Amino acid sequence: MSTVYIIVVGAGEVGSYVAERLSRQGHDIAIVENSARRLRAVAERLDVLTVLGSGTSPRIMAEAGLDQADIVVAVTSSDEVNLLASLLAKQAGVDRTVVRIEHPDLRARDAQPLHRAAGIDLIIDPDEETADEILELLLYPGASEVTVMGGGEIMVIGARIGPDAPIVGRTLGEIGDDYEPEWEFIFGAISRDGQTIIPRADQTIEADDLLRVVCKRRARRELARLLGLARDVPNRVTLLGGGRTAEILAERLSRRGAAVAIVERDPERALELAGKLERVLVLEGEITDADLLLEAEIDASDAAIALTGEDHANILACLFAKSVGAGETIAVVHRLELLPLLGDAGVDVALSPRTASANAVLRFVRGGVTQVATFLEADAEVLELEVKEGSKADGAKISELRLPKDMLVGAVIRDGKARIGRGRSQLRHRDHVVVVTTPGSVDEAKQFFG
Amino acid sequence: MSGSAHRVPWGQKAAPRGRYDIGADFRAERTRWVSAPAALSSRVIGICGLGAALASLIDLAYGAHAALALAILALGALAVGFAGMRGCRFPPSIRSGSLLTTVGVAWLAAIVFSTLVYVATRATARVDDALFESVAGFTTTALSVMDNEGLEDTAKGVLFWRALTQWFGGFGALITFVVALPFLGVGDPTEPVESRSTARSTNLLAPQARRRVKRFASVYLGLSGIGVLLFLGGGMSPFDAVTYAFTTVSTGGFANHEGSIGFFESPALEWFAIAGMLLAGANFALLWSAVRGRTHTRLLESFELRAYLGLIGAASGALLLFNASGAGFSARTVRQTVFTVVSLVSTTGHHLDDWTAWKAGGQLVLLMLMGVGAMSGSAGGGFRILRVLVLISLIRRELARQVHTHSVMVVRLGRQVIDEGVIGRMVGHMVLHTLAVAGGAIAIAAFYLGGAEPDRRLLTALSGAVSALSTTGPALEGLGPTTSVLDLPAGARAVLAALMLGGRLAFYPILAIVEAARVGSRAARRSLRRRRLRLIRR
Repeated sequence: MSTVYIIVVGAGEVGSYVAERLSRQGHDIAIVENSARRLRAVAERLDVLTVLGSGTSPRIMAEAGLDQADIVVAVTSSDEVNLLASLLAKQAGVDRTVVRIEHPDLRARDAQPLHRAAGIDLIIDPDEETADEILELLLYPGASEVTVMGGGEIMVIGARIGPDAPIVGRTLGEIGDDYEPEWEFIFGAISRDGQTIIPRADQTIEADDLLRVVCKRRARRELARLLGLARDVPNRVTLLGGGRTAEILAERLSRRGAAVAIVERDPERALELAGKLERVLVLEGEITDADLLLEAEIDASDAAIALTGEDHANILACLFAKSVGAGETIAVVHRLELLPLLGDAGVDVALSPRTASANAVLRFVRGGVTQVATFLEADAEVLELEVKEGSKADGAKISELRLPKDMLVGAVIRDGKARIGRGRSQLRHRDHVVVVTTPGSVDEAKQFFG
Repeated sequence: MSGSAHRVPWGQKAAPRGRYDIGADFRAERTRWVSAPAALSSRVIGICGLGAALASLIDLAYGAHAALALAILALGALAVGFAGMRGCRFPPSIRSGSLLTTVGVAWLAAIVFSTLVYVATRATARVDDALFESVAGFTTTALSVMDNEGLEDTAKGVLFWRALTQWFGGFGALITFVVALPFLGVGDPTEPVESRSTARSTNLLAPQARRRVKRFASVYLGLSGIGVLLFLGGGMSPFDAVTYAFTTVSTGGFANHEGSIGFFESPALEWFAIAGMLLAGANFALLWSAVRGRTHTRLLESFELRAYLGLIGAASGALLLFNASGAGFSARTVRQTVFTVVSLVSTTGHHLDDWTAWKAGGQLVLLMLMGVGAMSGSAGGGFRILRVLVLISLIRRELARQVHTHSVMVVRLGRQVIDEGVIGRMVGHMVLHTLAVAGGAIAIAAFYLGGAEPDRRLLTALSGAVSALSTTGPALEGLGPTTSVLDLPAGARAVLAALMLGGRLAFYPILAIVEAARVGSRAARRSLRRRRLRLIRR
């Protein structure tokens, strides 16, 4: 893929992560940020151009190279700044813009003329995307990541294998034989001891492996059984921290009939939540206050989700919830370095709000890729690509493509129907393929199909 | 309001010197008395004068039994009104405290004028009866001292005036609460609570207030017009159609015949009256938006409207079951039951049959309906469904707080969040309402000596207090729809009148007048003392 010049406005959690991901793929990045402290933190880690100042200033943006930029990604926490930055970019002739907008009124249908005027090509909302991700996890408890692809027909489920799972000790070939002639799922990537491989048929599954499985939607139940995952839709959920993610989550969960309790520290915000959310119990207090958590009946809840901005509070609250008997614990963790510590400690799932948004931006920047999933702990990506007319894959069988070792076609979606990818599968143009690969081979994968 | 025809607006070229004197304009303005109570009361009396003139003309057409007295009073009132227009003006803005006093004084002025009408036309035997009839009229209560004295023989002009007082009273109450005193928390539930006026002073001439007055007036006039047409179509004489429409749309309930609407023995008329009372007890802002079409689909989104219709439906169903005989329901029973329920919920007080003959359980349901009353922002009275709904939500919250001591909860009306300040006022109003019922019932019982059976007094006093406070009128036992209020001692009638006035004006304007009088007398005493001291020093 040719190098793209990208200006990222805002070096917060989302901005710096997006910049990191994009620069690792070899793109040319400039970051505009008006906090010197944050900018320094980015400059220490990444080899990118850093410009101190506001994304709404034409002078600052010119300094960041606006005239030669291909894409502007405006992801500050201020909707207004993001909108203005996009407007500025379009005026300067920038091809595409990605804008983070959080306020529901600015995302509503009647705000579309505004979007057109500001020339926005993609709108992202980290809070909502995090809420989506957590909701998927709750519906597939035990899974550590769930991504939906292929228009909903395909799910990519990431899960750590428990010692009691029925597939432990078997090879992939043996498992596959059980399901001939038509596979319902395929093992995409296995992470063991910090290393990730794209497995072949002779690979044996061991307890504690982290698997990514590409699976048809209708087979997710069967897969959950094989992976040894419990499966109950949660009835009672306790949300610790009452930010926007919690608000979105509470609304969706209570709409599904779950009893939701929210613990929020700020009295005014608690009152606001109580006003917005009917049928949701709002409690005021610290999420690390054990008595308060017991008052929220966290011991009886099927899931406890800690969503505050403070990693340590989130982790502590989850540990407490687990110790008194909460079903599943999910913690939002902002510092990725902490993640490896949490697996054994009583936090079932840790996720970062930045990854969901980053996925959306990456997808957009790459173009042609309709979906992409990246994972926190594993060096693997799952892409959804369209097979272009006249490409190598058009008209070929998968086995004829001679894909490299670190690449696997997980599924083929044709006319809205999904099949698991096999060596004998014939590809045609306009098919969508779900490809599991390592980050370094993304461009190579695109050459096969596009 | 414009003092002089020669006023030149600011910024325009002034007239040449010598021809126009700006100073004269200011001097003219200064000579006008700036007093809100005087300005409002004189205008109200002026409007009453127009009504009396109309009554006089009608009486002239029907035999001129009281036309002269009415005409003289009308002239006097018009003179007062005209003098007020010329000599009195509103201050540019009014503090809410003095607005309450102003409104209270205007109501009293109208009642005093109406008392003069009854005295002058000799429609009532005594002055206190005239006062009672006036209070019942303007508070839209269906308690009349004239009921059983052969209404057929009463002068048509007086009957018209009686209906007109209720028509004025219904609109007056509406304007008082929705436009002038929205900060009492009784206002318009279709508007978000936050946007309601909590300002300490009010500009009655602000475009917002004017627009609301216009809207409510058009709904009220529209309903009245439809009522007249329906009653005419149902076979009433033009005179009856107009007067019954007035007393139905205002939820007043005065009747020109013994037996109220039942006199006509026409099912169609009875259904028309049910529809009229139902609409009069509904929120006028909702009716407005329904008529304007833009939001008619949202009509049923109003939680209060659903509760209003639900209450009427549930009560009608329950009472039908209560009153059911072995034979099942006849069309007549259904009509009578629905009519009674709608009449009491809307606090109108029209009746078809004597519900004091119903079973005890059914009568208690009726007592509850009288107490709850109509929707907020309607012509009806009572505790109002809005407040009941909010207080139920409040109870639910307080119970839930017992379980979760740290929980944060809001009080809702449907989906809408109710402001804590509004809840406080509603709780205060509930306490006031309850005290008024209790105190009123005790006072009535103390005066009430009639009846051979002493155990009948208890329910008469209690239901009478509830019914008068909600401006319904007829109640249970000794105050049933077919009995006359004249059977009660004069003292009990005075208590009823006080309750009606308190209920119609939600106490506050009356309390404000009492408070102003108290403060005023204290100040007078203090200045007197100071003057005396000065004399002594000398």
